[in-house]
Amino acid sequence: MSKKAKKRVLLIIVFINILAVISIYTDFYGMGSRNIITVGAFTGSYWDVQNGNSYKILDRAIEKFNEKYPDVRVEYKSGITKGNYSSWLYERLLEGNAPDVFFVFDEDFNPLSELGAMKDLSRIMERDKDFDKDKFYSTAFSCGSYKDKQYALPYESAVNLMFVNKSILSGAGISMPSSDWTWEDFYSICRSITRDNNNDGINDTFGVCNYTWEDAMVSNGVELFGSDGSIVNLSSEGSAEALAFIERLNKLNDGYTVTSNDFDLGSTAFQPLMFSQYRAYKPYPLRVKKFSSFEWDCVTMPKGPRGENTSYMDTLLMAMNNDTHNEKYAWELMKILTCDEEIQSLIFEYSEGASPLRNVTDSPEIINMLEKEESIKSSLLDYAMENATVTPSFSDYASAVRMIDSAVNEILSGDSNISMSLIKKQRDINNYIHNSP
Amino acid sequence: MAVENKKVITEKSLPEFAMILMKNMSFMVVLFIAFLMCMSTYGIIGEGSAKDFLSQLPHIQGAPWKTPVLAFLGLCTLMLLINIEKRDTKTVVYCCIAELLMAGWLTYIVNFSYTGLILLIFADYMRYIRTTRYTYFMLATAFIIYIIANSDILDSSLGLVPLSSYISYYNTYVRWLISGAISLCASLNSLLFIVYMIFIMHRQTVENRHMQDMNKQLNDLNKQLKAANIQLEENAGKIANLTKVEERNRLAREIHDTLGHVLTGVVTGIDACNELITVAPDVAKKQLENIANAARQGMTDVRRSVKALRPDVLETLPFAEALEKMINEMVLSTRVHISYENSADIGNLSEDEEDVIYRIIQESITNSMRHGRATEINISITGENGNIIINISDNGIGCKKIKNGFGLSHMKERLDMLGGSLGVDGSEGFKVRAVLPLRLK
Repeated sequence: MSKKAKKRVLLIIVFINILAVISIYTDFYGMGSRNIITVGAFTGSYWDVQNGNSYKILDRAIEKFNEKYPDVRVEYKSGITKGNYSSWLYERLLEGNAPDVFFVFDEDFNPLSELGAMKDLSRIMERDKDFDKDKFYSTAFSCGSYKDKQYALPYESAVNLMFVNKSILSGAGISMPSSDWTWEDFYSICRSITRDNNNDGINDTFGVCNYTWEDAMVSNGVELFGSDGSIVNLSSEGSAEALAFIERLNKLNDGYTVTSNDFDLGSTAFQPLMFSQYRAYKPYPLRVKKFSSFEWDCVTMPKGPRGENTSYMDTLLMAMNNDTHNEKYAWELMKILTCDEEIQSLIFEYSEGASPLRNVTDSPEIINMLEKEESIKSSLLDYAMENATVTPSFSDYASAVRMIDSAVNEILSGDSNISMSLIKKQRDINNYIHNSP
Repeated sequence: MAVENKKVITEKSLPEFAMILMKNMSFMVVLFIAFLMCMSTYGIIGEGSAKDFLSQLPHIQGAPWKTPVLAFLGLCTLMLLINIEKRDTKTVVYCCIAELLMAGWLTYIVNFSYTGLILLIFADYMRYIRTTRYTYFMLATAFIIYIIANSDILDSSLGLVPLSSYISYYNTYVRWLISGAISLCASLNSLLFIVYMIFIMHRQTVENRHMQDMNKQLNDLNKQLKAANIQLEENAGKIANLTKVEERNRLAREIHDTLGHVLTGVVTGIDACNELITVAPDVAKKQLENIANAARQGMTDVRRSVKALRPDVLETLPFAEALEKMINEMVLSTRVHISYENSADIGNLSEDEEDVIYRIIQESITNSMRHGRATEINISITGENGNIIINISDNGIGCKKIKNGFGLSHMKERLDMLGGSLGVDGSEGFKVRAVLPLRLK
């Protein structure tokens, strides 16, 4: 072979190699699977409640999707438990074959956003004229946004509510608190309830259990974190007030630590719980099992002097794989699951959360149903959803909370001045966060 | 491969051997790292620690199997690009850009855990750079890129995953073995690059020195040649002068021998006749007859002398053939292309006319070659209204200011004697136009 011909052959091989590299790198071969959409879903309820309705809503949504797009097949792998789902999703992401559309747990949302696993939906939402983000409760919608980008849509939400043991309250001649009650109302009820009924020298009814500094700060309008994840308001007056309030509540118990077991046994008046738990235990069979000895209800969280009756919201999100080849169909399926009112109303039927869609949660049928079956006051859920707040979006949120938690416990157990200690702790924690890689 | 390498050792020089070693080693190491990344990722998935591992990554990586496949294809492409014979500058530039892009991309997909490919590419570039200044420039660039690639600056900005994250899957011993082997290869690669560079630069220095020597020699020779040329020109001038002197002497001798002799006889005879004409008119008459005879003889002698000055060919050949012969000889001895055309009747010219035409053509050709450095000369002889017109033109450099040193004055003199005229033009090549009125024989 002549030198020129040899060179030409070499160049052709180089060219073919480069083509192969590009097609593999860009997943060109994956473009063939246009008519299959995969969904990442799990069995069991997101709210840690056993129910047999795992895939009912998803199946109905797929049915509805296929009515519109009969040629597109939607597939999901069944049998992944809620406990395994998160690691299953991470494994698929690492393997590079994550589903086109997948559910995202609230706690995984920040890390997954940071990893770039989810597609930024902002552009798609803008293009889609049928889509209206104002249909969602704004807090629920903002659960899916990270650093000004919308990576996910809310599928199912639950807010923190205050559970009330109505039996204790009525026994003490106290009426149910209204939904705009304050810390002082809360404190005075707790104080009057904490007492020794059988005169054995030990208190046997208590005010509240599991009411945390987070609950107090949120309801006192404290925004702990800056957008970059640094703690900016730990030393604010609002925080100091919240901690002082917790300290006051704790003092009522004379050193006894009230647990949720005390609430289950019917000796505690209040406990903050997720709305989903309320719904799970309110109906007949489970109620008998867990809280049979007393009547109970729920109300919003009490508000502090600087805040509203606000509580944290936990949301199950729905996201699109950043590498999906079927953006159009994936988006359509996501829309059916999150924005379709028929599908969303199934949440109240088959799951324990609430729909993040205003029209669904606030619809007369749902209010009627909730009132009838679960005796939830009509406006309570809508009010709580509307006023909920969302966990801040930075990837290390969980560890930052852990650090504040231990700092707060340290302050509460010590005798030092709360405001001064908070300033010191804020500095310490910020130093730690900024110096860690 | 081993056999080929052995052959290579014996056949190729040390830098080429270093290059081959670098190529093979880089190929192996990059492929090994790519496989390691792939296998440990699958291991991590199997182990169930995907979540922990992903939390260390700055962003999602592609499917793990892609890394070794892409690395293999990319490495093959890179090696082919390096091996393509690059002869012209265009190929060198295109190939070098493609190589740099490919090497950069390959280094990127192995998360900058091996940066030897960059050195390999620069080693390849060095082969095509001949100027020492560029060598230093490229060397500096290579080291800057290499240092940046090895620093941690890129890690955070490109979102790279350190190799240690991947190999943390293995136990301590294996981890130690792997990172040791990779850093050993990296060091060896740098060492080979340095050796390679030293050899290449040494070779270039030697080559440069050799070139300098050659240049110097060439300059010396050139000077010598110039001196010889000047000497030669001087000699030629001397020879011409000598010839002139000789010719003059000969003419003087000839005049002295023939005309002088005859005229002396004639003068003496006529003086005698002057005396005799009154005393013995008959004798004087006889004497005058003798004088006339002597003068006639003298005439013949003068003619003979003049004939002796003529070119030989004109004596031996017909004029037209003599001209062609002269032109052919010029063409043969000088490689100048001469086109010659003759449409005039020149078979019936007198000798002096032949001489003039012959000399004009001869002198013009010589001028064109010597002063005009022409490669093409056109000569035409035409007859017009009883005139012979000779046109000679060339494609040489011409002459802006015509000096009368090029034998032109001779030509003019010769033509003047025969009532002709000479025109010259040096603006575009050199043109000579001679007009010679014909005498009827």
